[in-house]
Amino acid sequence: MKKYLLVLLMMVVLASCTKPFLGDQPENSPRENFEYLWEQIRQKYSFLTYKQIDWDEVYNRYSPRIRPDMSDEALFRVLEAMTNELRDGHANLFAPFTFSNYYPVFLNSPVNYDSRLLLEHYMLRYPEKYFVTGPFQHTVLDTLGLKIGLISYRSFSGSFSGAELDFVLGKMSGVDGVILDLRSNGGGAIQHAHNLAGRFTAVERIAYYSRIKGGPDPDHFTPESVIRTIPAASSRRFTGRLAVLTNRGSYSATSMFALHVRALPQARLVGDTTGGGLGAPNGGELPNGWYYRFSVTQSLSPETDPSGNRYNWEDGVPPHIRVDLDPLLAAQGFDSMLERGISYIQSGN
Amino acid sequence: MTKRYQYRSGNNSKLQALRQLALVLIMLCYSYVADAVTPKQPKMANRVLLMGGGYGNAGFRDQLQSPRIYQGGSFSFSAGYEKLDARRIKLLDLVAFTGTAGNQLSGSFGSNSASVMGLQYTGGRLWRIRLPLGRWQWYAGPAIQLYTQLRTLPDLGNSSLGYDFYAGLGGVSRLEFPLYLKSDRSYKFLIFRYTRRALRPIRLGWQLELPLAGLHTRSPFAGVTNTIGNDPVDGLLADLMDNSRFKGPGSYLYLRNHFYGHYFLKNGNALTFGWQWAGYAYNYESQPTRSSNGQILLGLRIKLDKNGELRK
Repeated sequence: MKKYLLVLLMMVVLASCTKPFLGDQPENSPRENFEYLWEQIRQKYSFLTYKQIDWDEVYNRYSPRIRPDMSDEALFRVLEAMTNELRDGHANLFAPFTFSNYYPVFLNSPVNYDSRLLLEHYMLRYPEKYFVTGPFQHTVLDTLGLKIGLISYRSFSGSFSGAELDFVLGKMSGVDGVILDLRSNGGGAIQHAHNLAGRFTAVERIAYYSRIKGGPDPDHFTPESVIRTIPAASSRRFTGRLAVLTNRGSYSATSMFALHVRALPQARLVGDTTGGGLGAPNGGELPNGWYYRFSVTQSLSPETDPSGNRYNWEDGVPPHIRVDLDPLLAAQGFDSMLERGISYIQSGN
Repeated sequence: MTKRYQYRSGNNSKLQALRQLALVLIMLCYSYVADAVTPKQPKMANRVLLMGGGYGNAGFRDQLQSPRIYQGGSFSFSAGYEKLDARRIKLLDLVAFTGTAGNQLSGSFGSNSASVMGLQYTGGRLWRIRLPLGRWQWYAGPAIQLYTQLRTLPDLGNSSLGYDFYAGLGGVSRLEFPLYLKSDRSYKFLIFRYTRRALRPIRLGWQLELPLAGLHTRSPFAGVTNTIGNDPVDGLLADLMDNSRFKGPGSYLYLRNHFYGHYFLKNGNALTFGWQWAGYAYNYESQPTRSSNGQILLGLRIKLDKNGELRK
């Protein structure tokens, strides 16, 4: 019987090949984590060429700062500084004790937003018309006989149902125009941007073209996918004049929504250039378990420059109407950006 | 069931066992050229249904998401159908598993976790090949293989989903050894007497599957799956199509082992027990992926006809 047991034992051993298949855990040293992150960015970051970043030069600058005995906090600061070389709010590093972000995009720009001014002098002007429906604050203003629907959406991370949006747009029936305030909306789920944009068009339009980093070569991208503004079926829509307020804090999905807006002939972007962030972020895990992410796509506008090249507004989608928040008017209870939106709805310019 | 277990004697039993094992391995290597030479039998067949479940481990390493190995426990369900006669086996075999995997991090921040689920399917036709090894029975033949694995690392946000789908043609080898549990004991309890059967048939088997060629698709190079398009489902389908690659021998490794035993009952059904393991290794551009999962499976082998057991 022993010989059969031996044969069976061999079979069981052969049946368990876990170790050869999976191998060992990766080395978890400061050097290994640095090299891994640098290589991931080199292969997958989608704007190295666009931003004219010499990533090899970045390596030469930061590599000497890696020491075998450095603490986790010290390592984090080096990796944070390296990812910030990308000048991208979508380039983040997440450790259990903190995370990194690139702040200069909006810290070096005017705020152009005063939430108290908006609430006190506009949203609550007629308290009986003020609603908070899901993630939307909204009201209807009566300005010298002009009826203006005003919607504020603070974050595209805020989910909404079709019924909620039907209710919001139901309150906008009969108004002369709608102002959608997306200032300091830092983005969120891009699907919400698509869904919301579909409520402001009756005709399908091309919003932008998207392409994904498709290989390690710096300019290797997948073929472009067409992203469309698709009219929401069987739902309430508003297809009159639309003014969308933006500032430099309008980022990521909000910038993508701005591309939708630029595709609508009856809509205008009013305010400051958005913060950009048109590259969808994607990422992974470092050998030490920290998470990273950075942009791996590009979103190209259907609008072209005089040479016929599509605009890449990664650094911000420009407004149709450029206007800042005037602090003197704000002190008197007027939001100059919002008032400019009202002016557009009134005049069409 | 009149055949008795024949005990052998001798002092070189280890050597004999090694020799038999070597023969088995050589036969497996030459399975492609082996010939079915068993004399024709009347066209009778056993149809059996196999069902079971179990628990085991699941592990993966997907460079697209992490260089780290995730491992954990998994529950599994298995189902199968076989049509067997003295010369052939038609088999359909399905194993599904789901589990939670993790990897331990250094320091006091605990571990990261992932959920993993998979499905393995094999449909094949095997022919008996004569072996000069007494009662060893060897079957080999082609098979259709499907393997699917979905992984989710929730902390990665929109990078959390990873997947591998494989569909291809491969080869299956099944080695079986029937034996009989020798027992003549009887028990008396009050006025009842229970007599254990003198011979309880058992069949031990080892099924090995290897791929020849197939189609593999996995998450895109950059990891974006369905986040950019108008429709998430369309985006996912586009990902699947755009990243499908035809893989021939050598460029893709898939291995599935199933070591099992059938303990036959009086009514012809059988209790089954076994250890099932499957793994794959695929180097997709600079995003290699590895997977390994194994389960202890317990279940039933149910006869669907009234024929006697044709394979002795």
